[in-house]
Amino acid sequence: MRKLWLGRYVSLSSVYHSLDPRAKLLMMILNIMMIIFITNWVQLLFAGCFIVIFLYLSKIPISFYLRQAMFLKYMYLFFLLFFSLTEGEFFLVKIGVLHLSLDGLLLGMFYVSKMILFVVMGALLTFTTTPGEIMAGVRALFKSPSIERFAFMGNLSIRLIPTILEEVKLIYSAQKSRGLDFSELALRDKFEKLLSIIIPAISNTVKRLMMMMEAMECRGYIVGHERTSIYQLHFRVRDAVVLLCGGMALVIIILL
Amino acid sequence: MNQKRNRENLEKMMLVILIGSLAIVLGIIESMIPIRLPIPGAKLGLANIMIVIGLYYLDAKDMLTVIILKTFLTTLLMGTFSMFAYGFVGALLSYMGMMLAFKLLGNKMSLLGISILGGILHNVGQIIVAMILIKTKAIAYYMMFLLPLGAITGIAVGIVAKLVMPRLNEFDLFKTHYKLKEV
Repeated sequence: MRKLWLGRYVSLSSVYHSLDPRAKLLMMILNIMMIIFITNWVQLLFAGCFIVIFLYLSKIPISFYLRQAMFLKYMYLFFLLFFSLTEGEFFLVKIGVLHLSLDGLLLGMFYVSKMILFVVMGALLTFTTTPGEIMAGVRALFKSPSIERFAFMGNLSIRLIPTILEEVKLIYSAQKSRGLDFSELALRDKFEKLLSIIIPAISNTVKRLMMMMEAMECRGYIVGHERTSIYQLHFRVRDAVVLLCGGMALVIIILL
Repeated sequence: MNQKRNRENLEKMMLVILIGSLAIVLGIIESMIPIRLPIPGAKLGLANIMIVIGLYYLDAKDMLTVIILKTFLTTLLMGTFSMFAYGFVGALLSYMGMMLAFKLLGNKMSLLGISILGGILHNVGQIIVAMILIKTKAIAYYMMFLLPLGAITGIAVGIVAKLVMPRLNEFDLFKTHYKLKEV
């Protein structure tokens, strides 16, 4: 089993890391709007430069972001092929009905870079903010009881997932020592053998959750009551500056 | 009386957390165990096993919480925000389709049928997001490959869910919330 790499947070002390999670969340929304408005190369170049500045501020090597963007590599390939085969007028090769055009390829590259920008921009948030911080940010942005409840459940879930994973690992090793080998099975058998891992994992998790429920009940947790948080968020000048930059970039993109 | 109600609410909340967390864990397991499909870049979507099962235990509102929880946390733990946009609309659409099918037909539609419906709608949702974000018709052609894929993953998810369900009813927590009368 490969080493488990849970969470994409990269722990560094940079300017971007120290921003308020609320500012980072809003910044991401501004950036999504910015990318939707991009329709030509000039805008794309501007947005690219803008995002690269922030990547630099986060101090995380750009190769990290690019590796994340390669997640969709088959879709990029499809796009490049599709546009170079169907669009454009300057043909490089022409065999019967099939033709490979240069400007089609460029058009494909335009859409691919747009998608890469989109992924990189999302990675900027998850690389620099821990799941807990994002939860706190969401909770502070929308102050409503249902979001409050959701954030609480999210926090519980975040704590629970590593323990379930530990258990799954243990069960997997146990089944492996009894002769379970996924790589040698046919697809249908794989599903059935998957059960030998899922069922014990569920059983253990249910037991754990029942215990947690009782503990919460004992301590007087009442569903839907207002709760306070130890960690308070502070919105500072630098957060406002970053948001202002994001807003200005959006306006420039629309005007360009 | 009040205490009893609180207990019920807590139980429902735990069920939401349980189904959500298990869905996320299954998603993580999937990325570790090599189950290869013949099409490159395709994912089986094991997490949907728990979503399909959830339909039989939770009401519409709690199920929505599970969907949001699952996509939100999977994004935080495994990937980036762009995956959230794709995954969320897909999951939301497949949730609405499956919930509607379950509400209207209930016992008449089998778990496998609901799961196939969910699998297809999941991919349709992703395509819609891509169309809005990238603004090109090329995506529509990509859809031709994704639709049958959705059906295939739907069948796979349905088979596993069908095997898991009877075992779940052995737990009290699940049994008391089971929606259909006969097991």
